[in-house]
Amino acid sequence: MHFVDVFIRQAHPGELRGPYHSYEEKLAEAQEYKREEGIEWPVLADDYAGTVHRAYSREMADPVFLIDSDGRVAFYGMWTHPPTLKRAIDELLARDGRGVVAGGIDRMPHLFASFVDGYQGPRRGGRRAVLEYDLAGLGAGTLSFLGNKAKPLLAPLALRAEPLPLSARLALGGGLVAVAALVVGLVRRD
Amino acid sequence: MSTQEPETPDSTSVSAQSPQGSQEQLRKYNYEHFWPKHLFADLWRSVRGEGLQPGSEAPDFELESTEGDRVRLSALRGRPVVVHIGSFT
Repeated sequence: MHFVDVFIRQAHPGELRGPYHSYEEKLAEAQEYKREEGIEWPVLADDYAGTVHRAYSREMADPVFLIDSDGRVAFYGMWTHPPTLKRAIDELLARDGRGVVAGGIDRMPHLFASFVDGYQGPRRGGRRAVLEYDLAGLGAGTLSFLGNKAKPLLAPLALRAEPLPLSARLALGGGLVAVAALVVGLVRRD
Repeated sequence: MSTQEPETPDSTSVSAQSPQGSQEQLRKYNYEHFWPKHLFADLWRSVRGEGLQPGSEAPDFELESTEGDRVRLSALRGRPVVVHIGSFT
């Protein structure tokens, strides 16, 4: 397996970090990105016009592609989700590195993981970036802030590397239904 | 806010159809504010499944790494490659 990161424009520019004004500025921040995120594989800077970004995903903010051994798209995660990617990788490796895997495309926004692990982006942009995220996503900035606070508690569930086993998913679903029923019951009692 | 055109082509990428874009396009791409339309655009793209389709050939590109090397996607062929696209903010 090879891993590469393609570094793109600011998703959440703010008063701390605004949009890039040149390719050089972007390349310099790609180094900071690699360091801060602790990325061990190559980080490649996309050009100033975002040519690779646009050709691959139009302009999705955080997509991931799994390219098979023949250079074809085996899997496209429109909102990067590690457990789903892991499942796709395992499937591809089990198939000798060729073909379409894990349903080919995952369009789900995976909001839970995004709120638990998505605060550092807008935070780096600054207060304005968090506020704009709130306005655009009906409180998404605040939810990310709270998710980040609750990270020690939620991380094992939200940021797991492995897909949840079916039994855990059923238990979780059952739990949610029970909580919802409880809430509805309490509301109705009044 | 000023957007300046890079003086030298910064990277060669994605086969032949690689328009560098007008000033207006560059400014729009490197936006200064994250508005609701940006989030809606991503959601709408998800509904439509826009982007490279599974089974299609991944367009080749050559980009500069933070270490100063030029990395070409096609040079990695023979083993699967994970290409993650991400930003700092």
